[in-house]
Amino acid sequence: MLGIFLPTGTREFTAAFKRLAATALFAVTCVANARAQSLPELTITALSITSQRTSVPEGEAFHVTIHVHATQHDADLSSLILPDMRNLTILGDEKHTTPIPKDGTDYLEVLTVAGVAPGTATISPAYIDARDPSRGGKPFRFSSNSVRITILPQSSGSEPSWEDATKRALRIGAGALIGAVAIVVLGLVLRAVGRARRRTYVTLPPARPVAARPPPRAPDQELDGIRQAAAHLSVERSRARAADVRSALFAYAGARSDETLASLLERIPPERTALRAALRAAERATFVDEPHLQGALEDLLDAVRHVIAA
Amino acid sequence: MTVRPGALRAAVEQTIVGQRAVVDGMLVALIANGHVLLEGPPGVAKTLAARSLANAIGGTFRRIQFTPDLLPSDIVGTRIFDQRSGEFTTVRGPVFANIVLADEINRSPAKVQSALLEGMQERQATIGPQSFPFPNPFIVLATMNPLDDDGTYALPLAQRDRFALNLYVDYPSREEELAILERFGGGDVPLQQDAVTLDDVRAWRDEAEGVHLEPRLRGYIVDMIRATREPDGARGRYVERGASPRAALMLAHLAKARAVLEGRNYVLPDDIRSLAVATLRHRVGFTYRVASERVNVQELLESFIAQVPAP
Repeated sequence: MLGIFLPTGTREFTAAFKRLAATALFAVTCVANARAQSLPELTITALSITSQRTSVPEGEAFHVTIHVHATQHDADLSSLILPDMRNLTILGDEKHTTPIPKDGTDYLEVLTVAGVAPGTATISPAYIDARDPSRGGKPFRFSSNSVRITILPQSSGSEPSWEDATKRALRIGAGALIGAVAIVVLGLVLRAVGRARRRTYVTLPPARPVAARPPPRAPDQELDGIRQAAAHLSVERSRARAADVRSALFAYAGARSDETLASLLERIPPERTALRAALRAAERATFVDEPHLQGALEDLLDAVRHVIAA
Repeated sequence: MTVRPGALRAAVEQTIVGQRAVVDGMLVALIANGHVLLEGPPGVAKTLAARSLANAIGGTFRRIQFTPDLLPSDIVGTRIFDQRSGEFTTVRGPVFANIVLADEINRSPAKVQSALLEGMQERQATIGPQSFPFPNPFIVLATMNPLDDDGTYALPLAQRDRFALNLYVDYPSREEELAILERFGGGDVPLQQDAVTLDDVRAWRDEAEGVHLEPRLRGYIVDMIRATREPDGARGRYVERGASPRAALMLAHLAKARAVLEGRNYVLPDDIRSLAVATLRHRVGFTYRVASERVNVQELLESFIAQVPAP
């Protein structure tokens, strides 16, 4: 090793220099390979930047969208390098990653930006470094397009002159006149074409009466449901009938399908004592053990009577 | 006459302010003969909750601080040669107690964790040639701090399954924190002694065996467990492995214990619903996305449960 760094003649110096260069080249290659191995495996099929506006007044916010599509499902696109923005300021950043079944991953980043000063604003390409499995796992840099936007000076806000206003009104009037003439001409042409065509008639099938949607159930109707279920229970004292009463009471109280009694009671005001007691009685009658069932059913019927009376 | 579990709850709540779900969870596990994994940030009374429960039932209490250099024999016990008698004598480890607090269980390597977890399953320990049964009741309350991952050994899913419940001890509310300052600001926290006896606990366990569970509630439990195995697209990305049938068995068992705690001899849908998240939290295998996207596990599991219509 010492010979490499302490040459004695010109030839030796040249040889030593070559060895040193080869060592350095080898080291750089090793570092590059190690870095390449750490890159994610991605096949990028789309990488683009689009701007919502091509010219925009200074200070007005608009959106710049970066779209990436990778063929890998649930791809890790965190290594995407955002573009440099000149004469623009970023106001917001929103990211959406959508894994698409059988079609890889879609990544959308929406930047909310605004122009800093009148002139030209540029957005340099965004890029992502990755090893592409479809190209033998070689490292690639996938780059997007660049975007150029014109930043206009802010409007002064002063009143337009009388001459400008007249010119503008004349321009609008002329445009409207040309448009009206064009519509009339187009109408005449279409009418002539329609007359030339032979008229055909199609026999339509008879219209079916439309089934009216059932009106939303009023509280009285919900109460009818409880009455009906309670009537069945008073005839047939069984757990199944108690469960029907419970369902009717839960519906009357506005329970969600996944809701249990505890969370339902949290929503029912304490002053509705009859309903709260009936719900508790129904819960007990539906789930109590067999020896205590008949007593629980009696309690439930009694509690339901109070609800109906209230 | 047997004292009701409500008396034990009242005794523990003399020491623990708020945290009703945690206190109830520990009592339910005690009645169901299960073990509890307590997770939460430091300083939220995880250890105090375990100590207050042990004092209130009048049993023996041992605390084992898990460290990286802990050995299995430090937990289970060992045999020592007595030179005077010329025989080996057995020295039982701290695991031989009614309530064992395994503090920061994930600070020790798998070998040490296994020594405790095997004991939890078998309810006995083998020292040398002889097996020794643990006292009855025997309950392990293990704590874990989910914030410090450095120097920890995560419990594998199969070992976490040995715990009946995984309770998350959250920070108290402002009112609760004010009450803590008012009650204990002066010094040591007083612990309620012997509110119930070990015989009472054994009687509750017998009672829980006879609690009525309606067939439609069994269906509710099974549907809830299956919802974790067949998640839809949005939730499916977060679940690697759903809960096992053992989770269903345990949830049914715990629901019966909760019915006893509430003074009933029949299970209600509320019993199942209130214990579902704590029963499933450590039994469902989540993907890396839960950590990387900082998904709230509690809310994720709640969404699974909300898919299942209540009976």
